[in-house]
Amino acid sequence: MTTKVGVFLCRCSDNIASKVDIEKLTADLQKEDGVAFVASHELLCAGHGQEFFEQKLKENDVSRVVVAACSPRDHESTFQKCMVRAERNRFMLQMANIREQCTWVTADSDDAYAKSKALTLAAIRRVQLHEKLREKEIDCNTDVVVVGGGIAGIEAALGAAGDGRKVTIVESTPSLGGMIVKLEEVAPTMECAPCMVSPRISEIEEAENIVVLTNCDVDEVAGYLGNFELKLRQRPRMVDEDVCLGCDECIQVCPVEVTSTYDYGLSTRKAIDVLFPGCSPNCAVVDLNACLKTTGGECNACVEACPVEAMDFSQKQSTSTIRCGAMILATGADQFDAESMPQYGLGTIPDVYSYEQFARLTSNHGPTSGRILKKDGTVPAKIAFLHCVGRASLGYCSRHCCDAAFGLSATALASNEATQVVHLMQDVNCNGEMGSALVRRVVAANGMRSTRDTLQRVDDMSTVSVRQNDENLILKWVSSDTAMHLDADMVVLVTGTRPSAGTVAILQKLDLIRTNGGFVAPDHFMLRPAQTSLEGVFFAGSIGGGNGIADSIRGAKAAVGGVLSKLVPGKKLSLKSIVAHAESEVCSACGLCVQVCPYAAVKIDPNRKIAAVNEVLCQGCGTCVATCPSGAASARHFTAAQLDAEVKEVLNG
Amino acid sequence: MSDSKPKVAFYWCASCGGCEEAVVDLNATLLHVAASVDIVLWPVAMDFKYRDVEALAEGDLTVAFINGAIRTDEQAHIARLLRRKAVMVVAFGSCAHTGGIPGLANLTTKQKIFQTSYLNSPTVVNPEGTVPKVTTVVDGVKATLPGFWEQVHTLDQLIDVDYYLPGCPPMPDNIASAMTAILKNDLPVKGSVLGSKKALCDTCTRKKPEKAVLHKRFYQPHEIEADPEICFLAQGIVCCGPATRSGCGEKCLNGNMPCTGCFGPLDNIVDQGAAMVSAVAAYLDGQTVAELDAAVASVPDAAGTFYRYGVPASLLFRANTKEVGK
Repeated sequence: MTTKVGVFLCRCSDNIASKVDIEKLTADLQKEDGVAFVASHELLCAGHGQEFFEQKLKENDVSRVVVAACSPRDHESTFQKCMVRAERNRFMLQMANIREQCTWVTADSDDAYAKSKALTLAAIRRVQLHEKLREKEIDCNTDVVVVGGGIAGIEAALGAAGDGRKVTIVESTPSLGGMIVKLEEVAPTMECAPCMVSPRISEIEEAENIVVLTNCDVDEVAGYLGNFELKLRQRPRMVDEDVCLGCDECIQVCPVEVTSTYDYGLSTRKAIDVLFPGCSPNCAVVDLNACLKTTGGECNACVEACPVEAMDFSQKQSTSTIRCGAMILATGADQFDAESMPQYGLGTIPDVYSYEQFARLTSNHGPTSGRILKKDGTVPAKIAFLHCVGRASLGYCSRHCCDAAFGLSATALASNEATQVVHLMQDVNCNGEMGSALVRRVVAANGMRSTRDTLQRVDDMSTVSVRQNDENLILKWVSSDTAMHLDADMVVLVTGTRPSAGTVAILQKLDLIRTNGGFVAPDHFMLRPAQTSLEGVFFAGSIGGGNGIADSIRGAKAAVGGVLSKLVPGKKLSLKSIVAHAESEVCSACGLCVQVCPYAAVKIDPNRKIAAVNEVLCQGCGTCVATCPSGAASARHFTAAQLDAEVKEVLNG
Repeated sequence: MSDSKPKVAFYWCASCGGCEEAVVDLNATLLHVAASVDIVLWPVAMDFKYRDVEALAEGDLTVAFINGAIRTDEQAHIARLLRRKAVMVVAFGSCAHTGGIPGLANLTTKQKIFQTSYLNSPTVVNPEGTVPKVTTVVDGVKATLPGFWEQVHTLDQLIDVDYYLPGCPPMPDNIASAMTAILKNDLPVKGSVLGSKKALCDTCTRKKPEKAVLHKRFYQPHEIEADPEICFLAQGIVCCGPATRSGCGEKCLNGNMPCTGCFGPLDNIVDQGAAMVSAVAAYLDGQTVAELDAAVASVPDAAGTFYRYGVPASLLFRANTKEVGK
């Protein structure tokens, strides 16, 4: 194989030629070792320029080409295509950036000339060491698994299924629905939450290509984009999903009452129950930790009461394996635990509620059937909403909670004319036309003298304390060195969001890159906002940090778009050519590359005792190459020898 | 002695004598070697004079094994002399190969070394403040000492080296197989390190956890009781194994001590210390600069930890000892 190089110099109209004497550079480069020809052109990227390029390659027997022109970000792909049309390997091209990095930024033309020559020669020495990389394709599975059945997961599943993909939803709780089904109205537009969600859940139930697995967790994930394999573990319901009608005969007779975690401790439920009216699947579920029968006691009440013989206490935990090409993670978030800050009185003062508890109070399906009353049964005259609870310890603004708080506030104001609200906040974060309108609506409905009476600024919410007075609650804090206080009948702690247990678990299992707050980090905050650090794994909703409903659904659609364009039925998956590999004669399986790879693309092959790079997952970032203390890892097209030759030439020049 | 036997020289420069011990440790094999070669210079064991070597014709010496780093005029003189006479020069052991422990002198200055050794050490009594000089006149008689250099060099920074035997010291089996290869002329390309191509992790039998373990701090071996079954780095103990050539027989590891890096870097690695720093960085845990700084600060002597045997061979060669303000 010849290592002779064909060199193209682009004048780029006058962008380059006005500073650099192209004729002189042509003559100088022609004298250099390894240069087959030097050809210059007025505008190489233009149509006639590309024809010139291809014609020159037809006339000359060279396989390696240097184009000294603009930034490779501009036209590397243009000239790579020219290479392919001229029946050359596209990786046998190297660009020398003598425009952005030279003529545009160098005042003196002698300096610019010297720099252009050095950069072009460096590219020549580099391309002489280039290898013809292969373009590879693999078959792929185009099925989709959605982890999490809240609004983001529901919309993601419907989106992917709409394209005809086979979709499986894996939901950890006994029903689809997530957080939104616990609400009555959804901020900022105050839509009826059940009216929005119920039809979507019905669509999922009717869709032939969506399988819903509830009470189910992802145990293990193996594989990569186009070829994932998930091991699932499904907990027993003790009720046959296909038989149960969702009637309440079993619930009526069950003798065991337990505190409802669904209602955040505000109500009790039976050891057999449905999660909420209209849940999906509409099927009862036995609380294995509370039921007499499953905790070694004797009881057969539900079995005897069931009119359709749906009870099945022989059910065991089951495991299964499913395959898919892509995953969409939508495991959501939890609220900051306000009990960890005792000055607010949550759990100790009766009329102090967490944000989620209060949301349940506003719900028609909630423990009070939507009536907002004090513990003594009276209507609260004033409800204080404390925003930014936990913000200091979380370290971030959770973005959606202001909207949510004003939404609850609007619902509370509408439910009782005698109720007024006050919002204590560090700052108002209700954005856009809808958010601003919601705040105005609350202020207007509140009937106070001024906006300031409704919205009170507090410098630091962690200084606020809540005490029980004889009649009501008293809130104290310090703002601008002045002691402040306020009476209220009810306090709602508007907490920030933190990753849910399901989110923590799945992110750990997949070893995805996380934000400082522990949410999933997008592969690129702006450019790839729905893509995780692992190719083929997308996300939607609050797994990426606190999200309102609109953002969750927008994220779900973005994730679906990513999946559908990445995996197309009938099409093979083309792999990146510039990937890392480990030299088997040198690799000692120390495992550092496995540890640092952000894409989980490197594994130790236990039989050969060397690192093996999965070329489907590898993004060619080079982190393993920089880390490898043995010099065994190298990235194709960026080998140490290639970079060495390039750098040496620049430094010599 | 028959002239047909290959002639061999052993020489020591700035070294501790451990490499000489390693040759003696060949035991019975040494006798076979001695029987098949003519040893013409071995100051530590046999009585030859430099003039015996000077008398040899160029190329008469088949192989010169030179251990130790280069820091004095005498060492440089003999190394150059042996290079002229020998067909092949083997840099024997860490010091000749990468600078070794004497190479740590490049982290300080000749002046400071003299101050410590001849003036300030608690056990030194030197009221006149005498320090070694190249020329001293005593009672009208001129006496000379070899000049002591400002810095320590590897052997190949002074003379052309054909092969390297790594280790502090090289292992007897490694020496024996190198000798055999030389006598049979069955050698890899010139400039090769005679030994394994893989890092110590290849032969280390300690278990690595499947999931990455990150550390908020690192431990010195005396600060923590190391589990003898588990990878040191996974336990937060700096072990240079991933950046160090295998071939030592895992003696330190078997003694439940981490690798300190004496077998030097792998073939593709230019700077062993830098490679080791990148390896350790992969274990750092911390979200903030302060947390990362604290983790880094838990390795108290970074240069001595990561460059213990290779300061002169590193890209740095020596520390910048110019004091600020002077």
